[in-house]
Amino acid sequence: MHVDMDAFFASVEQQTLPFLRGKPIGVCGDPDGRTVIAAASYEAKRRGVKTAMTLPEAKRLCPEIILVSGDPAKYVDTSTRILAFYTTFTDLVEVFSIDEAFLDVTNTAHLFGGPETIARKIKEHLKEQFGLTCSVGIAPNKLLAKLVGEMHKPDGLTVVRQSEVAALLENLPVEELCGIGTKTAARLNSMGIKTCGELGRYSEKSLVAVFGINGTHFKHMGQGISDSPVMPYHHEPPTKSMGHSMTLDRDTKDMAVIQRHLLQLSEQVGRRLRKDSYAGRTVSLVLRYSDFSTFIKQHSLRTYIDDGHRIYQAGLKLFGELYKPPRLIRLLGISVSNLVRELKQSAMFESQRAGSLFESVDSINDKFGEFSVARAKLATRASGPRVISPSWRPAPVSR
Amino acid sequence: MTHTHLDEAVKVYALYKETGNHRFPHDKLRPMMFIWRNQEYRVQDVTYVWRENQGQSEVYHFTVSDGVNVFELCYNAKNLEWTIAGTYSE
Repeated sequence: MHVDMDAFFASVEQQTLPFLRGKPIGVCGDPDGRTVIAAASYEAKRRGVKTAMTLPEAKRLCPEIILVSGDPAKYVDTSTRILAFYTTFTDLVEVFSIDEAFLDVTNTAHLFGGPETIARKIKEHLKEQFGLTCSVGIAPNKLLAKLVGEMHKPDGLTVVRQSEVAALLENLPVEELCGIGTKTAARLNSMGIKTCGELGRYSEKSLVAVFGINGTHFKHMGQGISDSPVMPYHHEPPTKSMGHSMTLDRDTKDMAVIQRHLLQLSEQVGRRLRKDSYAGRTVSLVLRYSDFSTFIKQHSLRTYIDDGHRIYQAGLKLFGELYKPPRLIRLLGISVSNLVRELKQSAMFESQRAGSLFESVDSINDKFGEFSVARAKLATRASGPRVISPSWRPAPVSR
Repeated sequence: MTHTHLDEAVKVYALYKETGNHRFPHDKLRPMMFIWRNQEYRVQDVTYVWRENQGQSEVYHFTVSDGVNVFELCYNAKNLEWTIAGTYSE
């Protein structure tokens, strides 16, 4: 079963502020800033407003759109409570994103009257508790559940049985399948494969010749076959990297501004690493210029680090190698990968003193909130980023 | 839409219910009336509730309507203080 909240952030804002209900709204960062639409209400979507559209574009399509500054804490809390409700039906709940989840109810559906009854109970609960709607797809596997769930939005409930799969896929364009992007679809189209039916019948050998090991996978997708299990979110594989990025208030080549943002992002990454007892040794820098051209460079260190200032130093070095002055910079991002967990401090830190300093600073920030104590350079830090990481997962739910 | 940011102490009369999910006690507490800047506001509707961690404090946000405007009230579960965080109007 796939459950997708309908226009999640926008619907939450419409519930919060009743005078926004029935109106075209767009949730973004700072409505006066240079952010993009993070979510549009269905009223705005009908006017052509889409996620990731710039604010001027959205206003051009829908001049009466009401822009609302998003509140990640509100969405994270709502999502956490919704996921907890899903786990009353099954332990097998996979978080696909903050507003999408898969539930494997194969072994528990009979306890609740079947999958459709569970879907209706979820819909009733979301409506009653939060005033929100969702669209549900029920199918033999995750690939098909997501596919059919997205066919009837908003507030849909679509069921496909194994006997109906072939007919469903026969004339369906390949790009409708989750996992086949525009580039893969274009390559398939150039091979004469436009529908899932054609993909499912195509020679596996020929597909493998073009796509390698993915060729077999694509053929199975065309046949509606997927053995991907629902991965409960408390059993997901360990984190591979941690990072933050930020769109600057305005395009700039001012090194003081760039350094301050880079330090802030590095400190945020260091803080997250320490919070989850990680350290990493590969630092990656993302640089986006005002024309949206984007460059990434990374460097592996000899030691594992979780110190924001060390991350910053490595990032600054990469910046020096990557930046072509006097181009204007729009976005900066920094991440740390090659992670290890639970390294003993004695092995991790070159300086024990630094280790205990972080402990003290972290405990103060734990108690009083992020950046209550920070480097003086960050006294005038940016207020962002007010975003939710795609890798966001709730804390394990206890019942 | 007009939004005014505030951070002022406010006197809130709330109803506390014993029932509810121990992990998500959002529905245990319901503001009924508040006095802000010497004016009394009767809560007609609690439109949304969410929890946020601010340091070690758990803060519950309630957006409430008096039938005209929407107010954001915050209850800090650690120091048991109520504040008004903002007002919203069309």
